[in-house]
Amino acid sequence: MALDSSSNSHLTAKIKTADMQSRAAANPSVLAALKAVAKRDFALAYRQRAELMQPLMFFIMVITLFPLAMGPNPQTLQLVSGAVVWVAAILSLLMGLDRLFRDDYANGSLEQMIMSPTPLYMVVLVKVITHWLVNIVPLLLISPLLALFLNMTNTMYLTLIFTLLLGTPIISLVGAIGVALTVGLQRSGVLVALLLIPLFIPLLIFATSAIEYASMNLPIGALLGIIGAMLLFTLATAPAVIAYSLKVSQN
Amino acid sequence: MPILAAQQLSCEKQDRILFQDIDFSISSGELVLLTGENGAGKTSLLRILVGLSSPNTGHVSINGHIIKKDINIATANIVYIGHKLGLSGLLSPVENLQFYMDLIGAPCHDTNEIFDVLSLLGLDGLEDLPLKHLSAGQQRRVALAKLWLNKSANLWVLDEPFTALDVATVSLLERHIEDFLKQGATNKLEVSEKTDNEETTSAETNSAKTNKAKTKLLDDSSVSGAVIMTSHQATSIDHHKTVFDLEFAW
Amino acid sequence: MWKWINSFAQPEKAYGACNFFMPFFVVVLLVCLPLGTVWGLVFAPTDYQQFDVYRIIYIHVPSSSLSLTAYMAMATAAFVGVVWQWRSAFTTMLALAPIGAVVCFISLFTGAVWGKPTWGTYWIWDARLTSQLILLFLYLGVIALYVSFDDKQQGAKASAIMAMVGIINIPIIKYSVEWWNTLHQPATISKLAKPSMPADMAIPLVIAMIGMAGYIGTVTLIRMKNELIKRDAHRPWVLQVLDAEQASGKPFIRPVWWAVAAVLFTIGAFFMVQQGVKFDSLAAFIDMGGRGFFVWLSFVVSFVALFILLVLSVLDRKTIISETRKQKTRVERIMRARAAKAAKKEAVANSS
Repeated sequence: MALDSSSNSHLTAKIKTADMQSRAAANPSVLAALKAVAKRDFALAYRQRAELMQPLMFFIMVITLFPLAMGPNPQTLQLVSGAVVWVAAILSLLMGLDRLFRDDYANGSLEQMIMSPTPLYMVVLVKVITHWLVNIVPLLLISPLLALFLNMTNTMYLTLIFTLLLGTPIISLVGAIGVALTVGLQRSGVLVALLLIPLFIPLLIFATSAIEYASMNLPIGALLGIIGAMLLFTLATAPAVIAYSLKVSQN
Repeated sequence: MPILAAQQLSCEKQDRILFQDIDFSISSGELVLLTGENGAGKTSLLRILVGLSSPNTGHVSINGHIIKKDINIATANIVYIGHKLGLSGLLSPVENLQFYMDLIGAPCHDTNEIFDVLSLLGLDGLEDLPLKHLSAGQQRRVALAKLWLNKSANLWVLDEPFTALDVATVSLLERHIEDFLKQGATNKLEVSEKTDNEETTSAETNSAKTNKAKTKLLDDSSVSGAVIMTSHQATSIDHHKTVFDLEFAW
Repeated sequence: MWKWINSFAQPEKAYGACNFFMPFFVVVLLVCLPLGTVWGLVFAPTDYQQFDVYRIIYIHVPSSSLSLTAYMAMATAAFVGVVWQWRSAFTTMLALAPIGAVVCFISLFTGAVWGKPTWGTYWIWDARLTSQLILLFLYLGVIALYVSFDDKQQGAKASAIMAMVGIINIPIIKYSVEWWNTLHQPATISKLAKPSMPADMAIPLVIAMIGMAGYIGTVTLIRMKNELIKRDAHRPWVLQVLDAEQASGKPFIRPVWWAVAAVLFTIGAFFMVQQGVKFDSLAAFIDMGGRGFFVWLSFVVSFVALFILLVLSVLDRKTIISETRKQKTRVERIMRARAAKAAKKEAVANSS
């Protein structure tokens, strides 16, 4: 009996959510709240800027390891350049994702966000976007140097930038799911990586293939299109999953 | 209509039944004191009542909205202060409270309001320091400032609110709780501020101002608030308390 | 009807349902797995290309397809648990995870062992093996996440989300890996390059697959029952059921089912023997056309793994039952101590 009415209520909940979304879009205080969340996250990132350097340094060092490990032959380095940068980017972003919810969970701000009139999935989306911007901009700024390290051609480098711009938001969004599920656990850094790396394999395959194709002057439109489609799908579905995962962790 | 109504709540943590078949309701003007031994599930019950945890069975509705269905609307008018402060250590008290007011949909256009509340709580001069530079008691007081700043709430849920507070702040908080129970989330401070400023103005404007202040008081006192709290210490809140005792379920 | 279906959300009813379905899966397991394996090893025709080493297919293909099916079942159970909040659905999911992981491992192991005589190397990055490897990682992720939570109900929900995220990704992963494989290996060698399998090869394969499905079902039900007892150890129904089972002295499943299994096996064996033994002597059988090492390594390791999983699941049950009884005595002690304390307090209050 109870579950009968709840199946009906799922439908009404859906209608209400759609209604709420349109209301929220028109509701200035929700927008103001989201702006405040973004502002706060940027402020916090700025005040922790020393800490933010760490994933970036990790990124640079991992890439530096490869020439040291494989020998400096420019041809070999060029062959593996796309793969090396992408693997390093995934690992470095995974390291940086830990910050996303940990402090807010520990100091109780997450609780306040859950209880606020602003829908959690919107708050979460804003947090992920600000986190992505804070992490990706330094990465992109340092990328020309790394392209030089690995002897990438200009076309390869341009493709790399495109794939990073399209693909790293996917890493942030899907990564946020993993981080949200484990935010209450201690020392969950490696566990999150273990959970998430298999999920990034398709992205890795398509991105590195695009760079390889670019190096052979083959068309990359279809590949970028696939990554773009993955991004749209993730953008549509991940925020709700992240919000739900955060609530499970709060329990 | 009760502000909060919960039916048939049961909660399991780590395969242990904390409580079951709990029915609970609170109406405006009521103060409920939740008691029980350590580990009996008081914090878990509070978290279920504000929607941070979901119960194994049963449901909670606040101001007519069931939490499971409309969590955002249901929990919009609650101030919850639990064990965690709900504040960020890297931001200053003012920044933290500004963010809080933005979050609850009541953006603060005049930071003097925040400064006044912080001053009332004895935090003069500390408003712009990063929160982590304040002592534990001072940080607690910043968290409590929400109770003065959130004017649309009609339910306060406080888990051990008097922890780490000095005697003066305890009594200040107790009086504030009493006021809230009697007349809702009126900012009594605002009214008394106006009366303070009146001494320098002329007689006619004086009475006009006092009238305005009185009208404000009348407008805002439409619904009195309700408070659910736990406290290990005995409180001297001058208001009828309903005691809700949680016993171990097994 | 919905009310009846929804009643299985309760652990007690789910436990009863497990007992109800157990005989069915046990019979399928006892009949089809030995039948399919023996048929494939002894009575199926020899392959004209790979001779006898191809017989590894009778353990490799069932484990490959079923490891994926098991993941889909796990994700479905996760979905039911999260959306309709069926706690018993979470136990199905958690029971399936280690079984699926073991079956996935068997698929990888037998695939690798098969690779050596056919392609000259134990590992080759073809689309199938690579997808299986990633599937194994997904399984291990679900298990690792659950294990790291202290609060097991919370852990089950978290694992459920991970399982559902995984199932959405599996088609994407498969597609991307196949694409990656064609990109880097223009000449793809597929183990099942034959466009269609002759019936006398395919029939034992189907039987073996059904048999392995029966195995998975049986062990899942055993593990489900274990998990249901463990999670509800403090509830009265558990002790009632356990006491009832002990008192009635009922065997695992009723003898009638053993008889049914024996009959069905005999019927199947009759058809099997009709195919004719494909080996001249026992020595030739063990030799498997010079590739005996690979064939027997595959089958022995696989069956040992399956056997160990079954034994561990059954032993788990014994441990859980004894833990439950210990828990009951512990609770009784605490209640008595508390009652004594309260009585003492009252006595002091009365005397003063």
